[in-house]
Amino acid sequence: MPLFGRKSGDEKQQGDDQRAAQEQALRDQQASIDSLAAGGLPTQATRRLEETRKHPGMFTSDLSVDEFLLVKEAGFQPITQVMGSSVYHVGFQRMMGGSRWAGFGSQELTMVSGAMNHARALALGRLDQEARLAGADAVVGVRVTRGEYDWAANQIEFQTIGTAVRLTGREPASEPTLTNLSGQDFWKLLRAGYAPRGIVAATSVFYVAASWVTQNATNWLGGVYNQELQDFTAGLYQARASAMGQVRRQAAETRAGGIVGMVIERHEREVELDTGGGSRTDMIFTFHVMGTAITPIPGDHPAPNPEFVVPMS
Amino acid sequence: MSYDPASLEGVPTHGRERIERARKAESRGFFTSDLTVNEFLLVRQAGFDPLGLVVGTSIYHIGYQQSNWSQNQEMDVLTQAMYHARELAMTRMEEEADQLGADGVVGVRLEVGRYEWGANLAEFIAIGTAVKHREGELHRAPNGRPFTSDLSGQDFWTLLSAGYRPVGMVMGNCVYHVAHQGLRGWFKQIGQNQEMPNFTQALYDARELAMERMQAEGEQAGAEGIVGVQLHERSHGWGSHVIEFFAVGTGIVPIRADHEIPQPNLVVTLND
Repeated sequence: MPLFGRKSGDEKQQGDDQRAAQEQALRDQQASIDSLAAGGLPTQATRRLEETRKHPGMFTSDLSVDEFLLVKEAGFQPITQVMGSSVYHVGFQRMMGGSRWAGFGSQELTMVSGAMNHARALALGRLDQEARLAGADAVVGVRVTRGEYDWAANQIEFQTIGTAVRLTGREPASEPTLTNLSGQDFWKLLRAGYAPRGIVAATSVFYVAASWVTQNATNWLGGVYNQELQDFTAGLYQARASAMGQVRRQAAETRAGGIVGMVIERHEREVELDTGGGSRTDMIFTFHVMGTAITPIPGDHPAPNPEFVVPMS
Repeated sequence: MSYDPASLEGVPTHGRERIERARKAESRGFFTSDLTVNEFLLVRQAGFDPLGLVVGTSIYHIGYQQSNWSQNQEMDVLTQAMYHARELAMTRMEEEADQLGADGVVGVRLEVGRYEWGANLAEFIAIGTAVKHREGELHRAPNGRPFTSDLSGQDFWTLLSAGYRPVGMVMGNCVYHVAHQGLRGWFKQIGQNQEMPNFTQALYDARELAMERMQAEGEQAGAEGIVGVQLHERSHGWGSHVIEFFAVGTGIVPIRADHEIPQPNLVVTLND
């Protein structure tokens, strides 16, 4: 037994090994952070995918059994689950006009919508890079989730996850096609003669200041009458038009014929304001839209005739 | 972890009595199950008979691990504790299934519960329906255990008719400590839109590790692939900076060379 405070050769060796492993882990971590800062992937992910590509033995997928069989029926083979993530700090929105929130009409909170759009683009970009590394032709069933954590004030996380697939017996395409459609929808679409071109998504956040009319309509006196709050209606329309306009432009860039599988999320938040001698309620409207741009495949694709069934599921 | 098909370790007296009764009732063709009517009919259609509900549980004390305040790191003590507890619950459920003479367990649910009376305790529960092939075809996992699968009865039927069978549930986890941000970092980002690479790295790496471990387990089980992977994120009461990422799916193997399914038709369901 070694004397107190003195380590035997073996123990010392063990300690050194442990320290070296820790230092290696720290170096890896730093390399990952640097790579992420440049918009790339962490080292661990790159390593795993290169390994998967070199030794394609087993696939992983978050496809359900039905989706798995249908994707295979459509001529694709699942390779691996792929994902992307971005934790993003949302800056402080400076409003046009004098004091905070007051004295101006509706406007887009560009700082906030910009942060959401950029974070989503980063997360989708990483998913795309992972799919390229895996040698995929497409990624099906892409889910985009937004998260907020207690430990990160003013920060949002965009997370993307999907299953990379490749066409059986062909060289992989240079660019994988992303789609948020399920395996079932993917199969139906291909069978009906359409091919996905990519995911289109946008967020718009609009601030609507309550006008005099609205303020009067919502106080105790005005509450008697039925009337439309035209400024809020207009704000809602503007927010939606902005988000839809962005996805339409994105779809046009890929020369798509249309957008399907649209998911629209709407949130509204009330902002109570002290106007000095009174108070008023303004609104913030948020629209998140996402879908898959599609294009027709040339050729004849007879539309199948649906049958009636009672399902066992 | 060692596996003993005859072991009843960890099963309380009432559990043993229940298994004993179930075994006697089996000869009369009586069974219990948490299958729905559709699932029951499809499991039978696939050539299997349900034998009984099987459960495995483990209440586990999760140790403490000191984390470095400003460091992204895996909490390996916690990772191992969470993994081991799940493995115990699964193994006990498999052993119960073996007592009933089952080939495998379908519709497995793996849950973690916490109780007010135990701050550092968590209960891990695995529950499913034990099934046996009518013609006695071998359906066990390569390691001799009954197969397990979290697929529903419908998925089980579909998988078998397409020429695959489940070998076992595969899982991987990672408990990760996300660093606190220093004051200097906070000042640097104030009022700006920007990505946080260190937080991104933490969440990314933790998910990556959980998935990689699940993949390794699948390869070890000799699976051709893993379907139905779910990725769970939970803090299990460790405070907001410590998060567990848990990936679980069902490993499948082919039972014949062709996996052609009849061309599906489009249908309109007459359910509401």
